[in-house]
Amino acid sequence: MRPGTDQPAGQEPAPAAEDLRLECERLRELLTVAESAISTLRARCEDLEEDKVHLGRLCVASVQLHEVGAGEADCLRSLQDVLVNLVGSERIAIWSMSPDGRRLDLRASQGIDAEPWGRVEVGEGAVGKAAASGEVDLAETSGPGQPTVCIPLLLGRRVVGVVAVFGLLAHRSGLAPRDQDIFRMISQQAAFALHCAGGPWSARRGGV
Amino acid sequence: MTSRKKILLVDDSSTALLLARMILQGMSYDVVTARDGVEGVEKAKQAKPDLILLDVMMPRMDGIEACKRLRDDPTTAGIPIIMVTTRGEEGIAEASYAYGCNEFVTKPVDAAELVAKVRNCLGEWDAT
Repeated sequence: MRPGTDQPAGQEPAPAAEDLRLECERLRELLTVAESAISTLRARCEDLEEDKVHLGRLCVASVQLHEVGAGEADCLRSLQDVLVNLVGSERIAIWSMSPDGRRLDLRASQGIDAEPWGRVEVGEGAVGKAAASGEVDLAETSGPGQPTVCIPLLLGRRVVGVVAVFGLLAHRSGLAPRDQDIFRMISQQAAFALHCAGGPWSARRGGV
Repeated sequence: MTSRKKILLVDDSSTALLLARMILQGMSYDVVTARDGVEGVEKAKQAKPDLILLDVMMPRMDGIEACKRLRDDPTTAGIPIIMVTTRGEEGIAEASYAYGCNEFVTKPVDAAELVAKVRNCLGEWDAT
């Protein structure tokens, strides 16, 4: 027999049978192409789904930070809630900038020994450097009790405070690239929400 | 036409509630919410949800106690429960399973993981 046919060896297949064999091969090739396209589309759908959830996360953070009628205490609570639930940290500190723009005063903290962090000079350590530069500071490795991420709170280009995250929850292996978007949002929107809440956050500072 | 499945979210964090609501409503589930264990147990009896997502750390009544009460009540004993917590320690997971929770997820919630566990608890997996 000819391999893969009903024809005895040495005998040409009937034209109809040969046509069917060629058609079958063509369909197999099409199937391979279609399967590859489906696989590509499935991966794209998964990417889009991740994008959708990520945008949803940013939307949730924004809504939470701008809770209607929130005073300073509510704003600070919302900010901590966002960091716990969207970033995955329960060790957090939040400072406001002093009126003279030279130091940071601790306004809220959780999960850390607050005593050494009551006042931080601008430019000093990771927290003070974030206040001086206005840039998010990500520590590749941070020592015990030191912040992993320092997020300046920016009103326009003016730094009105800093948020520091002291490590992530044990089951989070590390920061993901998408966490940066949350930090950028916190940097701008939390500052605005706290500014609207009044108190030390809305005081004008000289030299800015 | 099949009716939409109803999921009760019990969490004292408005951020967690908003995020879970967004994910689950996007999957065409109906969502009801409660802000602590006491309200959660009451809502479970009234709303008869198909599934409950229960935070562990909450004021008034924590998730483990709420889970125990839901399992002790014949009207809610059969409802699948997924515990949600920021703490991944074995002790909490073991206690939750001992009181009858079906699944466990940690915060920050991973949407794909949550949806997979919800669908698993609701018996909605297909072959694809």
